Amino acid sequence: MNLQAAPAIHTTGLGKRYGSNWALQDFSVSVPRGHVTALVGPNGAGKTTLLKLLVGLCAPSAGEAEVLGRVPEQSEEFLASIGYLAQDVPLYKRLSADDHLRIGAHLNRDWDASAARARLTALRIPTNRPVATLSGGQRAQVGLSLVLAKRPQLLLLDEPMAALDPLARREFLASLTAAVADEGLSVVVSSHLLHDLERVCDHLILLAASRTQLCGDIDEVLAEHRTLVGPRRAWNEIEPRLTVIKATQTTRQTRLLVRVEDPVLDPSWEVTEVGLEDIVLAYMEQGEALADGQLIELGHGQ
Amino acid sequence: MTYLMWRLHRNQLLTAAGVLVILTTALLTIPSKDNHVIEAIVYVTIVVPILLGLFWGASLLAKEFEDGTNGLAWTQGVTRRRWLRSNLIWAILAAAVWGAAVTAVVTWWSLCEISLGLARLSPGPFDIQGIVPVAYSVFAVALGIAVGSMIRRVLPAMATTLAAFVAVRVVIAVLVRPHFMSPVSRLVSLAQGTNALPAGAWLLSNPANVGPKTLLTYQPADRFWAFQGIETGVFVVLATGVVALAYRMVVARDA
Repeated sequence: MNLQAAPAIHTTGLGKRYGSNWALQDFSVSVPRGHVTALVGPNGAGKTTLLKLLVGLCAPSAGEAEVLGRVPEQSEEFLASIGYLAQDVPLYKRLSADDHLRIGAHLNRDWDASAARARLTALRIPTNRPVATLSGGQRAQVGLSLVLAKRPQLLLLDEPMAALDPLARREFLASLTAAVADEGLSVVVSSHLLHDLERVCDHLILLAASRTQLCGDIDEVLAEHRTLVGPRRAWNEIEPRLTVIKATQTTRQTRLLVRVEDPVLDPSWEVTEVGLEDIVLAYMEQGEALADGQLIELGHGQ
Repeated sequence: MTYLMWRLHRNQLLTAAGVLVILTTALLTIPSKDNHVIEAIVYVTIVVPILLGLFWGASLLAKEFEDGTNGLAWTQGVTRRRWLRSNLIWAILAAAVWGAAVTAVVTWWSLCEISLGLARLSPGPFDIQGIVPVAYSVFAVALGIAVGSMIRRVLPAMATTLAAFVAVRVVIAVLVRPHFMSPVSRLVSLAQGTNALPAGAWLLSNPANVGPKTLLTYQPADRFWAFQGIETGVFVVLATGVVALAYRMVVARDA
């Protein structure tokens, strides 16, 4: 297989079980190269597990994954092609950013320390102090600089902004965007909040209740979802070709969030576009309901 | 990898070197050859291997797991296998060198010091002279690394390493070592009793009275180096076993 043409990520039925619990189940997606993908899902949906499977830190219990055309494995070729920033940005606390950059130079064949140092200098982050003395935002920037210095083809970031204040989040995203624009690399960023990622991502993977709920281009996702508002009607009166993601009813109105491929023609519906955040939240609620073993019937019969 | 090991652990190495200098200076500068304080210090070196096992062995990988830095190290351009190999080589080498240095000082000192030199096959003096302290140090560090890779938290790993190392040492010293070679039995007259024991011999059991005679069972002093060799071999084999366990825990197990 031509490695250059292989998708950034391709999984079939990927699953990971811890004891009797599936942290991730039946996960099948394909993400082309060159995208910035938001990996979104509630806490415990399996985002961290998925990223660990993709970088080879975990072995799958079911199915398989291919990253850049390779099975994630402990080989120097594979490790050189990926950049991974784990949750909470683990760094050697007593070492400085300079120390980390020197260590990276010894551990990686291809290492761009000067660009990393220039980035940190531009952000006025002291590179000679132990990283434990830096703020959370500065540490995240050091972590990002380190993975970028590896010059990976695919960058996987696990909730890199979870501990950051809004200003630091914005700076981090600006750094990430600039780096992506320069290098043309593929990125997957996980977050339990979509809000942060909406501006920088063009692709979305939605993970809820350990399963894929949605995977695709953000523009397509937006085009496929609509809110329908109309007079109250019974459940069996809703057209079967509409995939209902979320339904709420009042005594007079039925309000649906649906997934459609063709335009909705029924004139009794008032059709409006939906924001990405509402779509994601609707799927997450549905995912939680699915986890309890039942389909959602929000407000039904009220 | 060598640079990473040096950068992460150089303070420990420098501290160890400092302690060694202090110990040597103490033995050299205190002139009395009949100084109980110095003898006590020499006996304290029996805990050197276990300290190495705890602070160089158990904490080495457990600290990485505890801080999550294994996720950082294992996604750089080196494989886990190579990462572990460097950790093992440098930790074991450092332990061997340091253990050997301490032992060399103690052995040299106890050759001058009659009391320690004479009874060197007996438990105690045997354990702090010759080559076995190096083997103990190597085993302790390998054991600590293996336990740390399994338990992955610093304090529990240290506690387990301590318990396991002491158990192995005691079992081998008390139950196995007396049988490394067939002991010598000799009947001597009641009047002579243990006075008939050859110089430096290791008396294995209490003298038993057999009629008008006393039975002495012992290991002769000239078996010192044979026993050192056998005991070293035993601990090198044990160290190899725990190293294999560490490989399994790092390469085959999830991060």
